[in-house]
Formats: sequence, C-alpha cells, structure tokens
Amino acid sequence: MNDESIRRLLEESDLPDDDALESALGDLRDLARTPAPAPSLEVAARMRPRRRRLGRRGGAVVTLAVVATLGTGLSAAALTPGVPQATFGAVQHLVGGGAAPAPQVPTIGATTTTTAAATPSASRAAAAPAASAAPATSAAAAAARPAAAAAAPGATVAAEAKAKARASKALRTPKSHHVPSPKATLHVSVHATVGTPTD
Amino acid sequence: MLRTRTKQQEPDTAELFTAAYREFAGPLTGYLRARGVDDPEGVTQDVFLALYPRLADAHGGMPGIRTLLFTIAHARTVDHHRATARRPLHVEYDPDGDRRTVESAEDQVVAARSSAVAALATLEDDHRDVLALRIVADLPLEETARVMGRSVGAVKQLQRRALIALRGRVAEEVLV
Repeated sequence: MNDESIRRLLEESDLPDDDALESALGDLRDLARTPAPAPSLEVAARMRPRRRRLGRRGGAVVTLAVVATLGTGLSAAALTPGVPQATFGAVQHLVGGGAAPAPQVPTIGATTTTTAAATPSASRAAAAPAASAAPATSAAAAAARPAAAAAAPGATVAAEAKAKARASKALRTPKSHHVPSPKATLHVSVHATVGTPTD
Repeated sequence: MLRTRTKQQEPDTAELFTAAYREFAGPLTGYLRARGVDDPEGVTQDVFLALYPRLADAHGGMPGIRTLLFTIAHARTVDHHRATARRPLHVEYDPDGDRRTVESAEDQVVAARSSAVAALATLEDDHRDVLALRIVADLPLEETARVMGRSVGAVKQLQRRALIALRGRVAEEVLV
C-alpha cells in the first residue's frame, strides 16, 4: 500500500484529508516492510522438493523398458551381417539363460532360401521348418504311445514308470527338428527381406 | 490416480511454498506485530506450516495464497487473544517510559512507528484487525471481508469507524 492507496482508503471511508492520520497510517504501512524472519527447520524442509521414489509400478515400468531395449538391441545385432554368430549366440545365451541356439536353425534356412530363390516370399519359406518339425514330433509321440500301452497290461509298477519315462523322452523335440518360436520367424523374415536387394 | 497427481504436484508445491514465504513472510510478521501477538516470528512459522498442506487447494495464484495465508493468520490471532484473555496480564517494556537512555536518530524513527502501533493497540479488536488487514496485509476490501467472515458493506463501515477511532488516538498523542 502506497500513499495513493492510503488516500483512497480515506476517501473510501468518507474522511477528509488529515495529515496526522495519514502519517500514522504510513507508519503502520511500514510494518509490511518488516524483513522476513529466517525460516525454521520445519519450514525450510518444506521448501525443498521431495525426491520422487519409484513405486512398485514404476519399478515394473523400468524393468520392462530395460528388457525391451535389450531385446531390440539383440534383434539389431542378429540382423547385422558383420556380427559373428558365435558372439550373437554367446550374448543371447547370457540374456536368454541358455535357450540361445534356438533361432539359429531358421536363420540358416532363411539365408539358404534367400540366396537360392531371392524372392520376397522368404517368410513363407522360413516358416517351412516349423511345418516339417511338427509331423516329426507327432511321429515320435505316436511311436512312444504303443510302447507305453504294450507295457501296461501285465507289467509291474516299475516297468510302467520306465515306459512313461521312455515315452516322455520320445516326446521331447529332437535338436535337429527344432520348432522355431514366433520371434525367431520374425528375425528370419526381416533378414530375408533385407538381404534380397543385395543379390 | 490421486496418488499420481499428488506426486506430480510435490515439486510445484515446494516452489510455490518458497515463493509465498519470500513474498509474504515479512508482511505477515508485520501484521502479527500490529495485532499484538507475543512472538510474531514464531507464529509466522506456524502459519506457514499450516498453509503448506492447503496450498494444493489454493486458487487465484499468489493473491489467492495471500488471502489464504492471512485467513490462517487471522484465526491464529483470534485464538491468541482468546488465550491471553484467560492468562494474567503481561506488561510490555515501554521504551518511551524509560528515561535512562538517550534516543538515537534510528530510535526516533522506530519510536514514531511504535507510537502508531501503540495507537493501534488501543483500538477495539475488530478495528485493529480491519486496519491491519487493509494497510499491513494490503488486502483489498473484498478479500478483507472474506478473511473476517463479514460482508463487504460491514467491513467498509467497520473500516470507517476504525479510522475515526485511530484519528482520535493520534490527536490525543499530538496534544500530549
């Protein structure tokens, strides 16, 4: 509030000019210019912005982002022709926990298809091993089933368990006929498409 | 949703709080002094601590925060005067009455200001309040009415009576 405001206040109140009153009001106004006291510890603590801590959801989001970034990098490495397959396999082994060699089978198949046919339909060719692997798995299962059935009627419990173990072993996918995962198929198709113009 | 919103607002609240303290801590201390509170600096801290959790609900930017701050301060002064009414009367040290020292030029300025404050202190509580809010807190008539919980017309009348009373006290001092 300045002198003009004080005069307006007096006019507002229908009071004529009074120097003594105006001077007293001016002295009161000076109280507004009192220096601010130093903030107490409690007040000062509220002046600092609090550090934001990640909650459970925040942690999950960060984990997802890291995993996605790693996956993208790995895919890029797989698509780069200069990266040796051994290095790629070792990295994927570290990240994937030992299930690394899986995508290698379709990658080789796709490369062959690309170099041989050099057509944009390499993705269909890459999916072929999956189709061929499926009957092999079914055949192994079918072979194991009669063995277990034959052992069942007159055999002892131990023989039954042995037959089941044999059957489950037979049901496992053979290494030479690995069924590629959808991720592996994606790698192959992209690789084939990228490789086409160079041929 | 509310949790997320609160977290996002935390840094803004701290900045707003700091800005409010820088701008209003001095006038608030002056207002509390004009209202005769025993420990104006300490009560200033209490008022700001009470303001902090309500900052998120404040509207109208800094003028809105000022109104909210002085509303809290007004309530504190009312509580203070109710509490002191129940306690034994403390007599303040009056430098004007002490003839053992010689006043310096600075003391004379302070004395002039303290005489105005002393004149204000002799007014009725409502008169004292309205003048402190209008002149020291620099609140407009409408905001003063909101802080005091009265209508604008009632505050205007109260302000007029307060000024007339103060004029009478100042005239008495001049005659003395």
